[in-house]
Amino acid sequence: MVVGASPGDAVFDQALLIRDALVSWGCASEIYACHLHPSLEHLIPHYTRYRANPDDIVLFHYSLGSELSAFVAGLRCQVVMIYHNVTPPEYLASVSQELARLAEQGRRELPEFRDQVVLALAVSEFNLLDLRAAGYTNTGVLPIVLDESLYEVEPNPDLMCRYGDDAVNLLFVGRIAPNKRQDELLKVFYYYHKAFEPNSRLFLVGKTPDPAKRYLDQLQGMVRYLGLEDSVVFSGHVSFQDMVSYYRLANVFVCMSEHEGFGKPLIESMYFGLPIVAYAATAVPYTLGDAGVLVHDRDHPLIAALVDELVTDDALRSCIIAGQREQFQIYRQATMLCSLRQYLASLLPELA
Amino acid sequence: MSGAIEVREPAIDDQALLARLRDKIEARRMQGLWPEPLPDFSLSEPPSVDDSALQYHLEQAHALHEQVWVGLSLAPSAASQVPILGRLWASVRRQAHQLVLYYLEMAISKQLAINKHMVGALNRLAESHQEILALRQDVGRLRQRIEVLEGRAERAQGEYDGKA
Repeated sequence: MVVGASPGDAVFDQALLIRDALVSWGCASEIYACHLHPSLEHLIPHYTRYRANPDDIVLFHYSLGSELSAFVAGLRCQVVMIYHNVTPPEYLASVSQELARLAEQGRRELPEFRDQVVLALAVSEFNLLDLRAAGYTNTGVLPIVLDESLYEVEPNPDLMCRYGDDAVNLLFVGRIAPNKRQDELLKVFYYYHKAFEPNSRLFLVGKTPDPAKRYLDQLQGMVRYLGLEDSVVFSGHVSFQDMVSYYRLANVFVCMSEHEGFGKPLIESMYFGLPIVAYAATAVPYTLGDAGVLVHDRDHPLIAALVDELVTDDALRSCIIAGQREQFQIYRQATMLCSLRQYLASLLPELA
Repeated sequence: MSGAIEVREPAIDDQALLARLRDKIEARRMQGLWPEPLPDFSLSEPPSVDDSALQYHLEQAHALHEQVWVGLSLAPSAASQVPILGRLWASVRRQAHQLVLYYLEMAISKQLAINKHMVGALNRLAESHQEILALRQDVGRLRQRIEVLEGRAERAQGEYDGKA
């Protein structure tokens, strides 16, 4: 059971992966959703079409408040929760009042399933803290993983031609939003570009939701004020192929976000061998584990110098990338599915 | 961990790395390659509609603008209980009500179209209202910045005049 089903959505992608694994293990499995992308309407049934059997196990992907919660609460079968983090509503208020309301509902209702849920799995250690605070006892971690085969797509030749020169490219991937702090990133880039490497660019890859258009205007105003018009690229919404191209073009991934429920671009950067510099907030230190470089202060000149060190010091760069590759092992499909099988074996003896 | 930065890779001494970064910054400063300090960019988040009454009325208008249909509602009358004639009377009453509803629905359809446009226009006005609030904040901030810059310019002019 997922709240929303749309192509490319991290929660839905994980649900698909789990369904395929369950089927391969000989368990009948089906995904039901509350909100369906038009392209999936004929493939994924609406949750109201589900008829519970007492022997069923429902995997409830929890990421937002919705009418699905009441439906699951009424089911008379075993429920396993997969908790993807509910973004605090204050971060969503500037994006959508409706999303903020659903997030508030999601946070409020989280403890209500603790007597019904037989196993609660969080996608990171950070999210596990939420589950424990909500009173869940039988818990575990089941991380979000990458379908690596998708990322082997050929990059967009136009982008590679346009930006594939000897400039140093800094990258951040995420929607334009005040809590992602692209403004902080611009400040870091200002020092890097002016003091360390004038032949450099900053790629800000991600769509701008309508309510965040004003924030985008402010960022663009900042870019003009700082004289960085030729060096900062606001990509807007990009195709998957273009996103992969930006990863391939980048030299360093820099994240100044102050709220990440998981931070999938961090593991994408690990996959692409990009050294990561990230502000230590919310789930970021948990997702990075022992890898990458965490910054604890918004000391823009210092972070700019750190980026330069990662670009110019081959030994440091190689060491960081090697650590990230090691950390990436836990985000591989095989590792996650092995953990899932172990968790479910306590409920389905045939999986033991 | 050295406070400002944290590298959990045991092969890297983050204290030494931090010292190297500080040296690097100092070297740039000495070479005159350090840029002007950043001004205070106090970016505001888009203000939400702070007029709760406006928000409430918009929500109500949105929820109710199509809920204007009425169904047939015939209260039983004593006359309807009279044998034979009562059934005839009830049938006449029902037909009369249906006729009224028919004309009412025609009027309601037109009203619905008007309601939709009204709700759409109100939403546009509310968006403009938000934009005006945001622009007011911007103007306030820009005024403050102009005052700071004018103060700096006056001081610089004073210092220049003093030296001259």
